[in-house]
Amino acid sequence: MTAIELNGLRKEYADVVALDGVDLTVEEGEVFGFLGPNGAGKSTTINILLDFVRPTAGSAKVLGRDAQEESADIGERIGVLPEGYDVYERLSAREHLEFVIEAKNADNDPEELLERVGLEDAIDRRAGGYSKGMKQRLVLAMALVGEPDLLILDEPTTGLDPNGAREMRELIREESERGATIFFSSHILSQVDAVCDTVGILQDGRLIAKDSIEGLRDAVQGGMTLWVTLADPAGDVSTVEDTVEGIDGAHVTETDGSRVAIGCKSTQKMDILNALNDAGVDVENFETEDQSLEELFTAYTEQEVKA
Amino acid sequence: MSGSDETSPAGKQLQQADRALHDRFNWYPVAKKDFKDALRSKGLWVLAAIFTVLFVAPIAVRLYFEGIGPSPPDGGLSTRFVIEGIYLDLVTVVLPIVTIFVGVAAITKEKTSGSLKLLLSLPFSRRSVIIGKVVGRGAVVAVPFLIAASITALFMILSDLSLNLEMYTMFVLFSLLFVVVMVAIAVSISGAVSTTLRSIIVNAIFYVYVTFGWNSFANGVGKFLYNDVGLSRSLRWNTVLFLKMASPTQAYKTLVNSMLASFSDDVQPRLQQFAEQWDLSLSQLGPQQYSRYNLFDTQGSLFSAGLPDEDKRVLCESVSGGTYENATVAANNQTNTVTVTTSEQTQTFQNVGNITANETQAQAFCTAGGGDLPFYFSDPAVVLFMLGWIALAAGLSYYTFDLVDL
Repeated sequence: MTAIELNGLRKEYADVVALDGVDLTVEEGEVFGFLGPNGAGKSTTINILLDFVRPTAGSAKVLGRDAQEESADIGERIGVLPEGYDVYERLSAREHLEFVIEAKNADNDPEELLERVGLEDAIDRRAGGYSKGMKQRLVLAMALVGEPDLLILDEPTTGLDPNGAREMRELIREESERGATIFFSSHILSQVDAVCDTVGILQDGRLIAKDSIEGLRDAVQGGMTLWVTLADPAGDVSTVEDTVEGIDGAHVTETDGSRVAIGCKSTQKMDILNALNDAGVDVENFETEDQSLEELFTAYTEQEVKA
Repeated sequence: MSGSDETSPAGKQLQQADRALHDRFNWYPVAKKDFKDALRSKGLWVLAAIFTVLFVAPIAVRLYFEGIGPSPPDGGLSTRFVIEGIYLDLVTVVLPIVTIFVGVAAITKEKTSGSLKLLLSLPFSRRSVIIGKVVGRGAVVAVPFLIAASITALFMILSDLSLNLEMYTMFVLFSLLFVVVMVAIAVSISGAVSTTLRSIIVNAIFYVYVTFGWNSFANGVGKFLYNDVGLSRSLRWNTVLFLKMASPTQAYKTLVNSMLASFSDDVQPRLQQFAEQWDLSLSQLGPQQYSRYNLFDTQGSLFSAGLPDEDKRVLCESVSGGTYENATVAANNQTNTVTVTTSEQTQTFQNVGNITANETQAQAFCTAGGGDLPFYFSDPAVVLFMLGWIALAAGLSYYTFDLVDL
């Protein structure tokens, strides 16, 4: 059985198309990273999976059930960290968990769950006084109640410090080892590649890629910009352009006075500098710039188009 | 659960009931959470205190300043008098304010904070969230109301006031039905709008309209249908009564009034007095008929001030199922006699007393005998009207909360 199945999912709001025909399958047991820049439609997709929002067309199935018709049944078997949630101010962490345990007919121990997320010290304090990170941990503990078959986590590491983010990744790994499917969204690539089996990239409401993490890495290999500052820009710019054109996969993307930008793979950096040296170009200085996620997406889509 | 080490028999029973409710009703955890929340915030106890003061104070003040008040045959301040004269108006004015206060933010608060997302990601459908909220918040009003009602009953017994327990219990039950209806409306409005402020505005408009504006609305519609559409008098007043009783407040009042009247042989005090004074056999309307007829008598000046005789007749005969009876009282100071004429009999009374002038007075009564109250005006129908409001609230929630994007 598939954990998540989206067929031609489309969502229109009054003036925008948030999702434009998304087809996606997430297999059971997978750790699926749902990537995309802000505003790409990640939250809309998750909101449809949770039946907060109804699709304009297409269908969404969660654990083999229709997300709209059988949302209460689905709720029994999933754990959720939604976007833009809040906890109940007057209830303590223990009471939150007792409520969820009762709702899900589970028999977990609240203390044990809170230990797993590192919130055991605040178990009997009212959640109204929690920091954002603590609230996040609490909701995560709530998501773990009843050993769900599927965890849906919307931007799970936002609001967490680096240590918290590491713990979150560990937790995802533990849950995955237990056999749960994990579907989480993020706009930060570095969080994804550490834990994901598979990645889907959403952009402007379309799923532009679905690939294993290795496939993605290959596709965007070395996405980098090399800036060289020339001692004699007037004479050397054309030499630089000629030299770079001779190297496979590299090309000059921009010229800014004495600075020239070269788009290349990270493994080619030294080759390019050596080649420029051999051609007699006097390089005064150089610096490198990693590609932002958006550029990665662009690189990836260009790749797709070329292939 | 933390309470699992409870061993007392009462605790065990409570746990069993809790378990059974949990297994049976999907919405139960939502209701329980809301109720516990109110317990924790002490709001429940504040409410119980307010209700108690509101209930006990008027009778205590009356006892203190006026002694035992008007003396009905059974002595003391009767239960009927207390309910009819004090509590009915108190409940219809105060209780909706309380239910709005308790229910107005039930959904909007969770919507704006985002906790609704947590709630709906659990195995709760939107419908069970609404039902759970109505039940939970309903209990938040009903439990303090019951506490206050019990204390008041105790007060009445201890202070030597006669307490008709059956009558009092019926009054409390009808009030609880009223609570459920009003909470359902407040919560469904809360589910329909996006912010608490909007919920407050809509609820306030609803309250003012239903409590203070409904009768003029009903009368206005009746007038329009009669004057401009050309409906018959009978249809006009049937429509007006129907509309009046369609209001949750009026429906509740009608139910309580006919319940109260059913406890007494003396359903129509004025008619009774007249019949006894002149030794006439005038049969009284039943309690249900009388309380319908009375809606026009007590609600505004419609009935008493200048309503055409024809309309009064229609109200009595076609709407309330009675017989409209004209009685003429003619006093003669020469013969020192009074002659009372009804459609059935004429009686002359000799040596009545100090008759100073010749005068003829026409009095009209609505007596029994015309027929029965049609089903759509009967007490069971009025209960259905009230349930209809719950259905309306459910419908509102379905279209504004169930079907829409959050």
